Amino acid sequence: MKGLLIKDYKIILHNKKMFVILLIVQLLALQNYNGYSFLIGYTAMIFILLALNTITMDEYYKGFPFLMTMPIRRETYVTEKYVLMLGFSFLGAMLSTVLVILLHRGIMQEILLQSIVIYVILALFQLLMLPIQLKFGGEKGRIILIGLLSCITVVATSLNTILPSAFGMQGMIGNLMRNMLTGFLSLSAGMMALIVLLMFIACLTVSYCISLRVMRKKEF
Amino acid sequence: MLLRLDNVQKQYKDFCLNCSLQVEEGCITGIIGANGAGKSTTFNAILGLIETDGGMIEIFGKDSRKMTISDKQQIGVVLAESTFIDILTIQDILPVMGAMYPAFEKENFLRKCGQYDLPLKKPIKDFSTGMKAKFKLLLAMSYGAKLLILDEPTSGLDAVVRSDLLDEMREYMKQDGRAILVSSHISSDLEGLCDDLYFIQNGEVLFHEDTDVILSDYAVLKVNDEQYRSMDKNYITYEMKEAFGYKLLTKEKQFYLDNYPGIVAEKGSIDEIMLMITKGGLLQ
Repeated sequence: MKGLLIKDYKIILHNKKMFVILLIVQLLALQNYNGYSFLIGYTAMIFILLALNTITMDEYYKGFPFLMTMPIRRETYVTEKYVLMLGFSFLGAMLSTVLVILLHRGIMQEILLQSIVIYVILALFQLLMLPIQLKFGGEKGRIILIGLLSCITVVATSLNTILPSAFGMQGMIGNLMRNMLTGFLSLSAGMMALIVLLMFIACLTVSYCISLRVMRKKEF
Repeated sequence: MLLRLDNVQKQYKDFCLNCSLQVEEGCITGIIGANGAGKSTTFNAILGLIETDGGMIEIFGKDSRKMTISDKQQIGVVLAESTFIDILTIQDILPVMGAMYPAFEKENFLRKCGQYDLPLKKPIKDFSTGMKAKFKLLLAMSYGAKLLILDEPTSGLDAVVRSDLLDEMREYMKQDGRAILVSSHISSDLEGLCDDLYFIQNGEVLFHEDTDVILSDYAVLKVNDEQYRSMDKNYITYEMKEAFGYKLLTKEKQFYLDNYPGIVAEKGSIDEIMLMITKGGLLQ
């Protein structure tokens, strides 16, 4: 895995321009005190894109077949991408969090909490994105991801409005969600963290297994 | 034996591979065939890049599906249409190779890059065709692999670069225990390099012979209708009707030279043999 990580690090370094743009936006965002949640999310997202770009580069000009002849297992390739994506986005979120904390010392706890929430949401997004990216590649993968997110939105809207009204269950799903959220928020901080962690591990396991299956079946 | 393919099959919509071949230690084995004959599919099957539908591939005496990381570190590869991520430079690649191949000979690789004027800080995508081909071969040879699998390493190159690369391959084989499987559609490259040759067409191996035997024993006989009728055709494998009479492929050149002094016998060349097999009719 070390060789793959070095390779991806070198690819990421080739996108130095994006880092410069990131720095400029960071400086602009820091002018506004309320902008820190955006800043943390934005930085983590940029880091995700930089890491995701390594998969696009791997397949660019048919680089994938040669890579797969090197002494790595397909499973190692998948693991490395998860380590890179989750690690790199974590790094992005943490760097921007530290920067914001250094500049706004009084509200450290609030910033930290927001940072964790943003990171978890983005990490879940990556868990959805990685199997799609590995299966369909860079360009197609992005289109399918947009399509999938649109479908989820449509289904969620339908569940909340169309279906309940058709079956006389107006507001039922909304109430259910509200009750679940209220129940969750009434839990202790430790219990909340544990539930989030368990859900995250479950999502990670499902996503990782799908990615492994995709890579094992992939032909080059 | 370093590599053995036994009835390896791969079925596509309009193409079927059914290939058996062997690569012995100390030998350079060539695969020759037209574009689309199945050379790259064979290589992809050997390297596990595609799933085969049947047959057996053995590398270093074990099932290729059970290859370990250290086994893969003993294989050097050049693929016709794929190389290292080409936005990177040679300098970027050095630590990657060092991490992936414990036997990576960095100093020697850099010396060779210098010898062929390969720029270390230029992205590989900006290399010329010849530079890319040299880089791909030098990289495959940079960690002392026992088996080199080279798919069209000389394709699209001028005679000078091709000659350089062929010399590199010969040099590589000076060390014991190594072997090369190399494909090309340029027969002259393989003729002067390989110990044995496989001719592949439509996914099938039509012909396999030692290069020395091809050059010494094979001949294309040119006979008129009268000579054709009267001659012994027991040692003729392929025949082709021509305006002057017949062209016949034989592995027993000396027999016909001794017994039929009037016959024109042209020395066997890979191109002639390929032509006879492709266009001619099989006699036995």
